Amino acid sequence: MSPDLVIQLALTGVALGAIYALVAVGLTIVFGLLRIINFAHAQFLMLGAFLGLALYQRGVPYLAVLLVAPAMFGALSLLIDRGIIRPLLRSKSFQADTLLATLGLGLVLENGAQAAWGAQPYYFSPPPFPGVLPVGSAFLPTQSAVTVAVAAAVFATLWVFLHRTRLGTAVRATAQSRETAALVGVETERVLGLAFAVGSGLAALGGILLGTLYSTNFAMGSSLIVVAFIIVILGGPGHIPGALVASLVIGVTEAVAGGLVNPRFQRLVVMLVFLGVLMLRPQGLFGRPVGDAP
Amino acid sequence: MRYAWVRTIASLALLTALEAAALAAAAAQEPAPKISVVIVTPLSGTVMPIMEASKHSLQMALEEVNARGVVVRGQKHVFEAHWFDDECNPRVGVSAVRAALAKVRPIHVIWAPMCSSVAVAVRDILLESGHVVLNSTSGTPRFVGPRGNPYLFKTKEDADWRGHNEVRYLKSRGLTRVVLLAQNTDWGADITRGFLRAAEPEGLTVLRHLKFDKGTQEFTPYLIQIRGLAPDAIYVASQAIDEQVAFLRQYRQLALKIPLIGPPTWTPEVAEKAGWELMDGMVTTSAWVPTEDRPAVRRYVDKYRARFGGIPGFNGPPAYDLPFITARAFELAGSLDREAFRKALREHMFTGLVYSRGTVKFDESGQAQFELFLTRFDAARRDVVIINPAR
Repeated sequence: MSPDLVIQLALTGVALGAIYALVAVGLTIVFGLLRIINFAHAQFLMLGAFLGLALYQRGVPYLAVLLVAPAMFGALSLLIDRGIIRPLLRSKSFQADTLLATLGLGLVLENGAQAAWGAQPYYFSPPPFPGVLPVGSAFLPTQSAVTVAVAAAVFATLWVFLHRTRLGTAVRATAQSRETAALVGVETERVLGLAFAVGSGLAALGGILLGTLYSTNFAMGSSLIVVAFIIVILGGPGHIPGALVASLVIGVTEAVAGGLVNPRFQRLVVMLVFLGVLMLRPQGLFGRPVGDAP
Repeated sequence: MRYAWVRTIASLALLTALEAAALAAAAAQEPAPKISVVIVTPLSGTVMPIMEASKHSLQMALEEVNARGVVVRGQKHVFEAHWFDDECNPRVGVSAVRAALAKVRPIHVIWAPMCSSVAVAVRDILLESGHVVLNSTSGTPRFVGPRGNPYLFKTKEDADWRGHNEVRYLKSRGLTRVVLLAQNTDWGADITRGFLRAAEPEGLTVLRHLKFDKGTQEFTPYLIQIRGLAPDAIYVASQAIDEQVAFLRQYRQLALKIPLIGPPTWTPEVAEKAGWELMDGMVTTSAWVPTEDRPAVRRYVDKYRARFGGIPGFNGPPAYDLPFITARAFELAGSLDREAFRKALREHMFTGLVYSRGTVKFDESGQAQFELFLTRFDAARRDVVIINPAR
């Protein structure tokens, strides 16, 4: 086993992990604040990718697309939040209700996308960042490097927002206890809406980066969402740094296992890692055991 | 007396003419009798990127044939299509076939442009039903076999034929150490089985047989393994355009120069999406080339491009031919009777087609026999070049 080979595979895994992280962090934010599992997250990713593609094809520069499309999609997602999620949150069985509602919404969005754009894949053409960057004797496609850089920038911004702004403090307070936050004057309804929009925007950003790296099609989110859920559980539900670390663990494990063992077994290896972690830490890598005070 | 006789004749003639005119008018208003066609094919699901061309082409051909009519014993008939979705899923396919057999009466013919996995799953049910079935999509030899099967017909070439052509080509170029990279599906298994059967007798060494899951987008781990084996050629069995484009991009990013060869699922559509330069030099075996200079091909490609945009994918041309083959067979049979229709399919040669180099003759097991091309992608000409008639 040559070190070059391992480096090459690790680089592939880091780029994949960056996309996983964007999608999983979006999912974990929504879970952490609203306490719901959004099964339509995969389709949000897909719609975000199509929105980004439409802007790019109309001449919007790629880096601007990465800013504008997630923001637009995040704003649009508020309609779903207000129209579908919020009314269900009042119910006692809101977790089951929202799970079923988002599952149904996902099916409608996916089939609608197939009806609208057909089943064929679409590509960001011309590629925004063609070529490769040498990393020692290995290489990293420029698009992958951009993906990693964008994800890093987004997470740095998210950290600053959550830890250095009043609104970020309100978000963290709401995540810890909605009732207590409301008692101290936090407008929790606004915070929940913001969380849903940010989570959806991150899914859209992940979709655009995924669509640029590979392809954009109506079913692109479905294959990724299982991995995203694994990452959320592995990192600890609602735990953002946990989701980040778990994304990199899964991305790199998948690529390295694929290259060194057998590509057919890469998901199997991921599942073994997942099961191993859950056996040792059922609450995930960074989650707290059930019953612990936050 | 003489005039009374003339008047009677004239009156009778007038009445006859009026009655004939009335009958003709009534006939003109009556809809043409129907030939009932059951179509079992994927209409939804993740397989649609490779099956949409089949659906579109069938629709186009149905409209064209119905516009001119199927003339059976001097009477114009039209096809009445009953569509059933099999989702390229054997379980759904079995239900779809059962539903079709229960709901549609009468059934004059079944068109089955279906995935190999579904074709194998529904084969016995179709055979037991006693209906004549034409399949334009499956490469599996298991659909029409064993020899002597009376009712199942297949217009797509067997995967085995391609294997022989590809192996002979590689051997002639001295490319004897090969890695197989194939989709882990029934289709991928059929394709590689055909290649492996042909490879051993010709002295080719298969260094490794790698399988990837359907929908794989990251091929770097596979390519790194392949690079370590230093083969003379890579045989890539993929039929999904997103897999193919991802594979090509990552192959080029790794700066690999190993010659590529593959089944006819590598089409100009892939080259247009990925960029022709990424496919330059790749060799495939195929039964049609979109730029082939034949009137049927030109007409089909132009119509398809005008209506749906782009070049039809590899499942389009054989599906387009189905209504024309069926119409011609009913006309030759001179009847809608199942046995007469089956006999016409067996005994006659069908020409003027798009796929199969324009001509189909079914053998005794119902497999269409025709010649294949060996083709190479040429980026400079942005075209697929026929290297030689391979079979």
